[in-house]
Amino acid sequence: MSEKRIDDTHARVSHKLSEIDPEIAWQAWQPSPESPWNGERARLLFRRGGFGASPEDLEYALKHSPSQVVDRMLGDFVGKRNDEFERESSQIASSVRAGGDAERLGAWWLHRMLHSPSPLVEKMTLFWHGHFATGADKVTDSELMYAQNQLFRTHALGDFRELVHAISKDAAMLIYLDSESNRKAHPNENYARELMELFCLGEGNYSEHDVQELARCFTGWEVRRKMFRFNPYQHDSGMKSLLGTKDIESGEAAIDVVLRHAEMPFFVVEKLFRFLVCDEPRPSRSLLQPLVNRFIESGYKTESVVRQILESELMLSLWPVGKKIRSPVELAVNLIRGLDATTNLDRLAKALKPLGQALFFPPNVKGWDGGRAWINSSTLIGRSNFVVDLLGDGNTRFHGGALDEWLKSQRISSLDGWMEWLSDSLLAVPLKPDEQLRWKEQISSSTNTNHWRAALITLSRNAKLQLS
Amino acid sequence: MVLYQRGLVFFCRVLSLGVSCLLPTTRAWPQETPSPSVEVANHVESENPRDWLPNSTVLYAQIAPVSEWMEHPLREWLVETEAFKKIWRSPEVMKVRGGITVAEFAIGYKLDRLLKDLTEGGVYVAIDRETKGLVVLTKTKGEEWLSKYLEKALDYVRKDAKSKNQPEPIESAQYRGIEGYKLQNGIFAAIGPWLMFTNQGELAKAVIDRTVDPGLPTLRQARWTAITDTTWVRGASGTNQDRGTATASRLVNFEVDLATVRSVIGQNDLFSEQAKDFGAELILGGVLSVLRNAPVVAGSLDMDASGISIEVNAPSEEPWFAESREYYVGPSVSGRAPAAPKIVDSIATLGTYRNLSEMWLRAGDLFNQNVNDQLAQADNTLTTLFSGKDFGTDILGAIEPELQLIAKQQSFPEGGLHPTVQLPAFAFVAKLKKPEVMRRELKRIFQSFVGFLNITGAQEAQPQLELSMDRVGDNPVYFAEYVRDADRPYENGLPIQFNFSPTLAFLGDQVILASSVTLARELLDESLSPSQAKGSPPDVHTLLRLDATALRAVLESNENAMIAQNMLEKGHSRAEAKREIETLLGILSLFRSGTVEMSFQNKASLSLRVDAMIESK
Repeated sequence: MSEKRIDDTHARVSHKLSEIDPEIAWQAWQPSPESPWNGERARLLFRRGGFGASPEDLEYALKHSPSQVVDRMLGDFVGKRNDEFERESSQIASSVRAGGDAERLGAWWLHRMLHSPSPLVEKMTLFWHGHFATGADKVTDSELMYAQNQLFRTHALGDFRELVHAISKDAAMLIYLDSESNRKAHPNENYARELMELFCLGEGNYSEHDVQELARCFTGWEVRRKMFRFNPYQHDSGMKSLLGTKDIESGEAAIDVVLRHAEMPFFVVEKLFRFLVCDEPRPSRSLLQPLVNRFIESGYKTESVVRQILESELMLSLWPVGKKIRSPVELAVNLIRGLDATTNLDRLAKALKPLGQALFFPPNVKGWDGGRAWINSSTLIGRSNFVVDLLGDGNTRFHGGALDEWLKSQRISSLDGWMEWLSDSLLAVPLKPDEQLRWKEQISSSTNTNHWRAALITLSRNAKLQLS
Repeated sequence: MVLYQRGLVFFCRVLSLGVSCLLPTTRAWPQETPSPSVEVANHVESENPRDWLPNSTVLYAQIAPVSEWMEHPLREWLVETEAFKKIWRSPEVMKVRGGITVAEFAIGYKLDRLLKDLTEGGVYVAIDRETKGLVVLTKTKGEEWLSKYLEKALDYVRKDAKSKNQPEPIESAQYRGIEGYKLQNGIFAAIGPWLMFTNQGELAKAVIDRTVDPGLPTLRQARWTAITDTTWVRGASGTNQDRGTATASRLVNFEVDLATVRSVIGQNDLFSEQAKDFGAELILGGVLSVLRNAPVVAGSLDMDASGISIEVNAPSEEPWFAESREYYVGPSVSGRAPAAPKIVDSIATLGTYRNLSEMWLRAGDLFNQNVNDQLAQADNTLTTLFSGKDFGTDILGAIEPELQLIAKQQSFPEGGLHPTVQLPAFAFVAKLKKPEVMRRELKRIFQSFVGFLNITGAQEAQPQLELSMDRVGDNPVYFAEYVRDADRPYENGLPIQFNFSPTLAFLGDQVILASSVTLARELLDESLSPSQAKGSPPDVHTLLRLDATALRAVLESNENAMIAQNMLEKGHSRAEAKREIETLLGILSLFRSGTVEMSFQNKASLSLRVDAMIESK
C-alpha cells in the first residue's frame, strides 16, 4: 500500500481537485487509526453508490469493509440476486403496465430504489436514464419506456459498448429522436448527432460531415410495431467514411467506429466522475487517466470504474462530502430510507415533477443538468413543501407505525436527541453551532405544534440538507 | 400502562365518541345557572324524547337498545365467520381488546353488560339547527343504577388524571336542578333514568328546559314531523315484509327535515337544477329532483337472520320533476324497469328506465355550459363514428327507454394464456323501436366500428380484431375477437384488450351489445329458455342486483394486481398488502348478494331500498 494518502482530517477544505495526485486519488482506501472506517464514511458510500443508508444498511456496513459494502450494493452482480424481490417488482410492473400510464412507472421505479437489494444497480440505471435521456411525454408508450428502463438495468454496470449498440436499436429512443423512419433519400441526423455529441464523444470531437455520414449509416433503421426493424431497401449501401475511417457499410459498424474513438472513454468516465464524486469543478484529464485506463483494460465495463471510484482514497477520505447537490430523487429516497419510512409511491412520483426530476420525463435529450441547476427559489420551497406533504400523507409510516412510536423504538425521547439523530443520519455536512441554534429557534417558532415533525420540516429548508 | 390508559379512555368516552367526532366544536356548559326551582321533581314526565327535543331539530333517529343488536341471530353468525375471527385476532383489535379488559377490571363492569344496561330503553340521536349541536339520549336501566355508575366513572377519570399530575378533567355545573358534566369535547348529564350526551351546552339546556316545561315548542310539534306521519312513512316504518321472517327487527329509524337542510346548505351542486356531471345526472337525476323538493326524508334499518335492509323514503310529486327530467321518470312518472335476465354467476344485473335520446336532446336544460360544450364535441365525434347518423336522434332514439345492463366474470382456459388484468364482461340490452330498419343499420355500424378500432389500433401497434358471424337459434351474432401475434411470447400474459370480443346480437326486437361474445351467447340462450322471467316488476323504476360471490371471484382473479396496487398506493410491504386485500375479500365473503331498488310507489313517494343478504354458514 502506498504511504501517500489524502489527509482526510482537512480533506474538505485543504485540497483543491487540481492539487490531488491522480495516483493517490484512485488507490484503494485503507482504514487506519487516524482514518477509521466509520458511520460518516459508510453514509457517504451509500449516498453516492445508492440512495442513502437505512439503519439496517448502516449496521451491516460498520461490520464489514468498504469493498464488502460495495459488493452488497451491487447485489445481482456478485450472485446475490434476490429472486423474491425481482418477482415482487415484476408483479408490480405488470400491474402498472396493464394500466398503460407511463407516469405510474415512476412509482414502480421508486419502489425499486427504496427496496432493491442492489441499490447501486438502480443508481446506475438512473444515471443511464439521464445519459440516454428519453421522455415518455413524446414516446407516450409505457411498454416502450419500461423496456428501455429494463435495458438500462441489464447493462447498468456492464460493457458500455453493448449498451450503446442496444440503445441505438431501442424503440423508445428512436421514437424520441424522430428516427422511427430513416430513409436513404432523407437520412435523419438526429440520432447520429446525439450519439456522438451527448452519448459517446462530446462536442468538438466530430464534424458536421461525420454527422451526415453516420446518419447515412443508420438509414433503413426503423421502428415498426414497437420494435426495431432493419429495412434493407431504405439503407444507403454506398461507402461511408466516419471519424477518419473509410468504407463503413452498416450502422453497427459505424457505432463501433464511434466507440473506438480515443475520446469516448474520457467522455464516459468524466460523466461517471461527476455523477459519483462532485458536480464541480471539472476534473483534469490527468486525474481521470487512471480511471480511463481501468475502463479500457476491463473491456469498457462500467462496474470496474464505478467500483474503483467508490472504494478509492478520494471518495473515502471524505473529500467529496457536500460537493454534490442532491437530485430530487436522491433527496426523496434518501429521506425515506434514512427515516425507515414507507409512503404512497404514486404520490411521491408525482411530487418529484415540481422539484424538477419526474422519472421517465427528462426535460430534453440532454437529460437533467444537475448540480446547481437543481436549486432555485421555486424548487427550494418545493423541497420543503415536499417534506411537509410527505409527513402529512396518511400513508407515510415509520417502520410500519407512527413517527412518535418509531422515535420511541429508536430511544429518542428529547428534541435535542432527535436533532442530533437527524443531523447524523440525513446531513452530509454537519451544522455549525450557530446553525444548530438557529434551527432550534425555528422549531420553537414553528406553527407545527408537533416538534418532532417541526424539526424535520425546518431542517428541510436548510441548505445543508440539499448537499450530498 | 399504555393499555390501561387506552382502556380508561375507551370506557369513559365510549358513548360521547359520536358527539365529539361528528361535531368537533364544543361549547362549555352554560355558565349562568338559573336559581334552583321546584321544577326538578317533574323531570322526565314524558317518556318520549320527541317531547324534549327543540322544534329546531333537523335529524331525529331512534336506535334499538344494544341488547337487540347483540342478541340478534346475525351477531352469532357474524362472530363465527372466518373474516370476523381474523379481524378479531388482528394486532390492532387485540390492542383495543386489551385496553377494554383493563378498564372493565377497573370499573368492575363488563363492557357488553354496561352497554346493554346503558341503552336498555333505546338510544335517540338528534341534530339541532339552532345550536348546531348533536345530542344522544339513552334510556338506562334505572335512575339509581345510572347515578351509581356515573359517579364511579367520574371518580375513575378524576383519579386517573390525578395519577398523571393532570388538572381536574371534569367541569360540572347545575342547571334547573340537573348536574351537568363536561369532559373534553362532551357534555353529559343524568335526567332521571336518562343519560344525555351532547357537544353543545345550549342544546343540553334546551333539552332540560323541555323536560321541565312542557309548554316549550318541541320536535313533536315541528311542522316537518307531521309530514312523516303519512301513509308512505308508516309503510316504511313497518317490519320488513318482503323478507317475511319472524326474526326481522327494526334497529334504526330516522327522519330528516330536508327543507331546513337545503336552506342551511344553500345552492350547492347537489341542489342545483343544472348538473355539472353527466354521470351523476344519468344515475341520480330523478332522485335529485325529489331531494330538491321533498320536505322530509325518512328511513330505517332492519335486520333478520338472512340480511340487512336499509330503506329510505321521500314524498314525491309529479310537478317536482321538471319537464327536462321526464327522461328519468317517464311521462307522468310511469317509467318502469324491465325484468332483468337471469344469468348464472352474474356479478350485477341492472334494469332501469332512462330515455337516453331525450336526455341527450335535452342536455341544454339539464347541464351547465361546460358539460354542454363537451357533449357537443362528443356528439360530433359519435355522429362520425356512427356513419353520419345523428347520435341523439337516430342511434339513441332507436331504442326504447327500458334498459338492462349485465356484468359477469369471464372464464379463461385453465393453464392457458389469459389477460394480466381480468375484467368482467358487460352487456347492454334494449328493445328496438323499428327492428326491421335498425337491425341492418346497427350491423353496418358495428362493422364500421370494428374497422375503425383496427385502423386506430394498427397506428398504435395494438392487436387487431377479426370479424365473425354466428347464430344462436335463428338469432344472428356479429362479433370480433382479438388475434394474437404468432411471433410474440406474451411472457407477462395477454394485454388488457384480450378481455374484449365486441359483440352485436339480435333477439326479435331486442338488441344486445356485449363486451364478450360468450356473454352475448349466454344472454341469447337464457332469453330463449322458457324459464326466463318476463314482464316488469310493479312500481320498480330501477333494480340493481349484485352477487357478492361473483364479485369476489373477479377480485380474487386479480389479487396480484390489487396487491401490487396497494404496495404502491400505501407503501406497504407485500405481506402487509396481501393481508389488507385478504381482509377486504374476507369482508366481502360475509355477503352473498345485495339489491338496490328504487320505486315510485303509487306515484306518491320515492323509495330507495338496499338489501344485503348475508352468506350462510
